[in-house]
Amino acid sequence: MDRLLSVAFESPVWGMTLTLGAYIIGVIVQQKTKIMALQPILTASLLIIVFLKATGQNYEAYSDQNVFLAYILSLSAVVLAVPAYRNLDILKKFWKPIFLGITAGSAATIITAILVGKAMGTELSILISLIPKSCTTPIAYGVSESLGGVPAFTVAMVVLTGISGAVFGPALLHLLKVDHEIARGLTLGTISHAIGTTRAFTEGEICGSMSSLAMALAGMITAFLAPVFAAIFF
Amino acid sequence: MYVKQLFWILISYFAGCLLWKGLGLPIPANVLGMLFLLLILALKWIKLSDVEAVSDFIISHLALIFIPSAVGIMEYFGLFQANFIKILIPWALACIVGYAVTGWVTQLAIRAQEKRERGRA
Repeated sequence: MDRLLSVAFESPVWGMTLTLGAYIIGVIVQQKTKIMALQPILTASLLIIVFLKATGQNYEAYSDQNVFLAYILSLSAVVLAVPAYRNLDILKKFWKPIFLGITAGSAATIITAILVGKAMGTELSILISLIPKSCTTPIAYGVSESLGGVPAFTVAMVVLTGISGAVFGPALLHLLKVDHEIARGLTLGTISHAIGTTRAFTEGEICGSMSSLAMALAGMITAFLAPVFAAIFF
Repeated sequence: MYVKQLFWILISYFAGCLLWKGLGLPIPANVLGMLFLLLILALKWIKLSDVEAVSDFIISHLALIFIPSAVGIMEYFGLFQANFIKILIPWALACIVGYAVTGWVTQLAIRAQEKRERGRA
């Protein structure tokens, strides 16, 4: 058995095979249970961590085998232009409220994180990594890296932000008396990015497409705002 | 042809890299690439169908692409444990404030615009 394992870990493909397998399981788990919180990325990551710990493999060996996915990762922000382009008509009609809402919301969430974190004495690299937590992952990763944060930690916070938003976001919006479908979709996409968008589509087509538009725009706006706020507050 | 779609996506990313180097902006190159792709779509230099299928495929499997990064959290378990409250509170408050401000500002501004348009009609 040990021999078999060591032969397996010499192959150059075990890492990505593991990623794909865990992802497929994660997708099936979500489809069967229909529980919002059981996002495929959460299930898959936990499965892989348990597997790596159990077999004594380190993270670096695993991640080196996933360079192909890392390459697509860098492309994935570029293709977000497609949902943005599809919603260009709504964007043209409501460009003022949309830009106003996304900019105000993105700025508010960044400033809150910085001020509360500073007041609590949170470590600087952690705080910087929290700044892009509402961005879609490809953008968050780039923003965190360019500001000197810890990208892997940022990705974890992005996933948590998305999952908690998909689970609690719609109820929170009712509580806040936000009931206009454009505003609801826009908020889910701005703060809870792609995972919030999947939830927004369950409320309807307009809510969902507003959310995907907001996810792309909020990512861009945060990419512009983050270095400015970092320069002001740090 | 999927290869052609990938070509346009790579061209956009490439343009983003050049803009990033050339302008020295603190914005990630792939965000500039997204702006470039949006621009050439809006200017009708390329059609939506020239990039749509490959883009939708990538977007529908975003979660897969980020799994290796999310697994990277195993390197930071100690950091999480040692700073749990100092991470959780700023993060949670930032999320709640973000929901409130985005939702309220957008809704107020949309209602104001709809009212103006009804007034004009």
